[in-house]
Amino acid sequence: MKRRRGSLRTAFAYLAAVVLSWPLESTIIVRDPGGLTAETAALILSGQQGGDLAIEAIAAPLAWASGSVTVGLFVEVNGCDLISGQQEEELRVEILVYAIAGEANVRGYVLQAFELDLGRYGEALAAGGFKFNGQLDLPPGDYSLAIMVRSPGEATQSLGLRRVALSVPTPDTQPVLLQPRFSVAEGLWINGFQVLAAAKEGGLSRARLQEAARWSAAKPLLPIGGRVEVLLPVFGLPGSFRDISFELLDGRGHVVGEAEFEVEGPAEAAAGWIVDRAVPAFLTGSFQLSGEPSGVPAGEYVIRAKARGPAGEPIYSPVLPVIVAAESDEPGSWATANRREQVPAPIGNPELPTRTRRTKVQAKDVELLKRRYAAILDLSTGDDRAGAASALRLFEQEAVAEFGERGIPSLVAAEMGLIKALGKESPDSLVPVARLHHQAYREHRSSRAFLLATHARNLALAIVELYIAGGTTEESARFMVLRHKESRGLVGSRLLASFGGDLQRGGLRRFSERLFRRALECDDTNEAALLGMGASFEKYSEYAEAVSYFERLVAAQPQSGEGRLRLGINQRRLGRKAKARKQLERVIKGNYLRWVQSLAYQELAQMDLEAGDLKRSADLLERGLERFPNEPKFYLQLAYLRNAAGEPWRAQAELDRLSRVREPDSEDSPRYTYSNWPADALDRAWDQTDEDVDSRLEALAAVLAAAAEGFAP
Amino acid sequence: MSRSAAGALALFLLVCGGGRAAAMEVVISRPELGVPIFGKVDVRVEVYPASAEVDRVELFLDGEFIGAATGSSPFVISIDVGEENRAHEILAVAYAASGDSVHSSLQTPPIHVDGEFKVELQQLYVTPEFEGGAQALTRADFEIYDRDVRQEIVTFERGDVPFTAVLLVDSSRSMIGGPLRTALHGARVFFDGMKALDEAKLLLFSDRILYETPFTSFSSVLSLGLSQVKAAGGTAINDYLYLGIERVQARQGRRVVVLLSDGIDVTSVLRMEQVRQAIRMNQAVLYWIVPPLGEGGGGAGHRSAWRDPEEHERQRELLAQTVLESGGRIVELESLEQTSGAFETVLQELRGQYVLGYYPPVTGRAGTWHPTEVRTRGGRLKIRSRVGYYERPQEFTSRDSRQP
Repeated sequence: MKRRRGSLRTAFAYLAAVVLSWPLESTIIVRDPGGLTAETAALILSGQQGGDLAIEAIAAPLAWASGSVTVGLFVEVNGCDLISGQQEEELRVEILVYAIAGEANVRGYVLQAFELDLGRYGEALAAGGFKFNGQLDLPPGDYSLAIMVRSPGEATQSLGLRRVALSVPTPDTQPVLLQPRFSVAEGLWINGFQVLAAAKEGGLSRARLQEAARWSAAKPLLPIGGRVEVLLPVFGLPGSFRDISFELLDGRGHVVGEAEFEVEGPAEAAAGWIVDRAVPAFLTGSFQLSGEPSGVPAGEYVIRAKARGPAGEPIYSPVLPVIVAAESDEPGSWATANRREQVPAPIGNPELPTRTRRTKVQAKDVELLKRRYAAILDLSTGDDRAGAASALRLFEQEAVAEFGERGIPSLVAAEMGLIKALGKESPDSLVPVARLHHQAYREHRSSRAFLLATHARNLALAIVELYIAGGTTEESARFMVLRHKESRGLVGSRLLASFGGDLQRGGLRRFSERLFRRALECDDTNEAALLGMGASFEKYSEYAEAVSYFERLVAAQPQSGEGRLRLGINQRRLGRKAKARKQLERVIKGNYLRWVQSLAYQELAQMDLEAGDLKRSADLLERGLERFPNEPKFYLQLAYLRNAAGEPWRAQAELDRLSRVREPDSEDSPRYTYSNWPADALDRAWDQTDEDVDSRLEALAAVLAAAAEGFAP
Repeated sequence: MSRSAAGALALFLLVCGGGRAAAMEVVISRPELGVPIFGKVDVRVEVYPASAEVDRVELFLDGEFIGAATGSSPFVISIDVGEENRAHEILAVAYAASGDSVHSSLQTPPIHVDGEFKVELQQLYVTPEFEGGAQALTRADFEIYDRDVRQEIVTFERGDVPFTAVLLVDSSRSMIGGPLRTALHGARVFFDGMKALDEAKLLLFSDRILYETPFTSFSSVLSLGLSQVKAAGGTAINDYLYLGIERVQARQGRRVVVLLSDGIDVTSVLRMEQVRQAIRMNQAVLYWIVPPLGEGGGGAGHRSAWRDPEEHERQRELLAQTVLESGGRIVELESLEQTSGAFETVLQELRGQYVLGYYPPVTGRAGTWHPTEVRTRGGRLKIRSRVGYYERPQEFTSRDSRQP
């Protein structure tokens, strides 16, 4: 009987292709996206929008066949946002799109990753951005496209989220206007294309997709007074086309401008298509926006097409966001149009290059937030630290709710503003603040507010770096030396490793490794960091690297049972049996956690079995059972050994003993514990930082009191 | 008298002498000396010299007259010595025409026995795959080959043979909530379809046993307390499949193990190679119900601290191979909603199976591989059955080793 192998493939197929950028004739490398973490999937389905990366997108139904419609998908990403903070030569950009019908029915998806050589494309990206050109096959209906763009570099983990409505009509008796489409100015975008394995019926070939991409500006710039070329797909529109116009609407849905559509004909690409009820016609033409004083002022609007139906009733197309630009402005995209001011990057590494801000932070908002933030910090110096973390979480959520797109930038300005002031007076005061934001990060994640979690993470790490770099006043330096013997490096290392562990559990491998490495720069004996690094390499089957970190750990922290255990297991994987045996035997003889020792017995018994020494293996397991009589794996191993020795009746006896084992429900099995990220060392690091925080609360309270005097009434 | 004349006279007297001068001898040339004999045996008696005038040869077995033969040497007489393992004495008496007789006897030894092996009936579960509707087959329609030697079918039964089943349901973290509920609903469908003499055990596992029932035919016992079980933990398929196989091996009847899992093992201490060895030692047939990857299951390309993606895939492939080698089947689901249907499919197949029993040839060397093959008359049908088994150590009873 044959199994159907196809159904056992990964859910996200890897489309391997070489893509050509357009209009630049150079190569962008398509990469294996590597799948998604559960957190990423949850984030994209959460409905949140915004993030570090500014995104605009348009989805355009392009071809109908056999109950399925091929929809062109065009995602534009602000280039400055992409390259901001990048310290690597290769920029990785991941595009994920879900087409969601109803509540959460995913009817289609796209997942693709690209690598761009910044040496080659950096300048062009800074001048414009990156544009993904792809397609989805969907049945007719209404969808919400959930779009995520992620750039997971070692130094940054920027992402952006966007939702775009899509309506895919069926040809029927009603005339339909589809969303108007505007041409893309040349040279604005670095293009990455999704390439299909083979052109299929109803799908688009690469050439057709490229052609469709010419009319795919996601948020076009419309010059006042200038003629604007537009492509308008229509279904079954009776009569002539003189009745079509375009309306501009403001944020409240009011029509603020109208322009007549001067039709020039069907688009070249659609030459030969006829206007009937089954096939759309792609009309090309232009319109002109009136200038001031009676015309529309520059700003952001939405545009829609309007026509008359069979009975003279108005028919509207879906809207498209646009920017009406002054005629004097140079041609550009929404990405360049919004680059009004450069704001120094207030988060992350202070040395990061500037980042574009799309929104203006208002001073009065910042002042208000700063006061409220100071009150929360003060609360954290008391007994209810958990309450302070919850208060911080709520405070940040409210800020985002209240200020909308200005929310996070305002929070950054307020929080970082106060933090810097505190740090100048007393670097030690930053330790409790960093911990507070770390706790807020955990709370945001638990409540699935992932954008705020990202903000909390970035802020916490910036605070730690600020702390490690130290304050600038002599007084603060003296204060620190007198009160704390441990260096900032040791404390900072613990804070960083603790955060690294959280990121590791969240599936952010590269970011977590970066934090562990940084922690080791500050303290090269940090157990949590060494374990975290080793476990990361182990999980990705890089066993030699893993061994190197575990060896360092065992040398620096001989009491680390988990370190020895992992070292032994990985040495066995590398075929270093004698070394493996030595470590595992030391674990058995030492005084370590139950799960660590139990696992050492299991692994040694397996080694003896593989060596053909059944008796030695069985004896070892029996000794293990004397210490851990409720370990079910020992019975299973013994049963196997008895069978292998030709004693099936003894095997059954072992399994009868297993029936009487009662495992505690609250504990994970040793093998399961091992398969998870190291938790015990991270828990210890967390507890140690609790002590670090406790001893510095007084310092925070003192500087807060001083700072409060400086607040405006 | 001249010398030549005296010689001729001596020769004449020798030839014409009354037997004494030309002595007749009888030899039992078959069976061979020192070889135990059982059942039908051809006894060959030779009389010398060839020219001797033999009236008849009589044969005695263990003191009893068996038969006689006439004619000329060699004389072959067929006798039946029976199946008992014992020594025999064959006595052949040749009578000359003159009435004189000569005799010869042969002792055959028994097989020297230190003890006795208890040979278990080997059962093969055979699933024919009919095109265009099921047909009723008879014993004569089947042939069993064990190590390429055709075997006598000792027992022949169809479908209604009671079975003993272990249902292993993956209850790891990936099955939290809806997937586990759906899986357990499917298991209940299986239990409700059992007949009075069928028995089953339900075993919910993750990286440990979350729930295990006794073997029972009462559906209500199997379902008791299920609603309180929560999926949690990692997945140790190899370990608990091994346990399921061993549990069912200790039972009577047709032995079945049904596994519902995506097949990605993370936390087992045993490898699938070891489980495969176990199923080859036992007589259970395996069924594997596979939920769609990502829906109650992990994904291919899975990696863990224990295995890289390639090794995970290899273990999974080996699981599939093991299932098919047992004569079982893999049922892949396109959605979890098909779980109940899958359990029903397994049950229906069990009802349509044929159970053929034979006493396997025993080498006495545990671990000897016995490839098995079931053929149908004319080779018309496609059938599924296990591909072989390892000879189990036979239960041995020691006896007095003195010769009887």
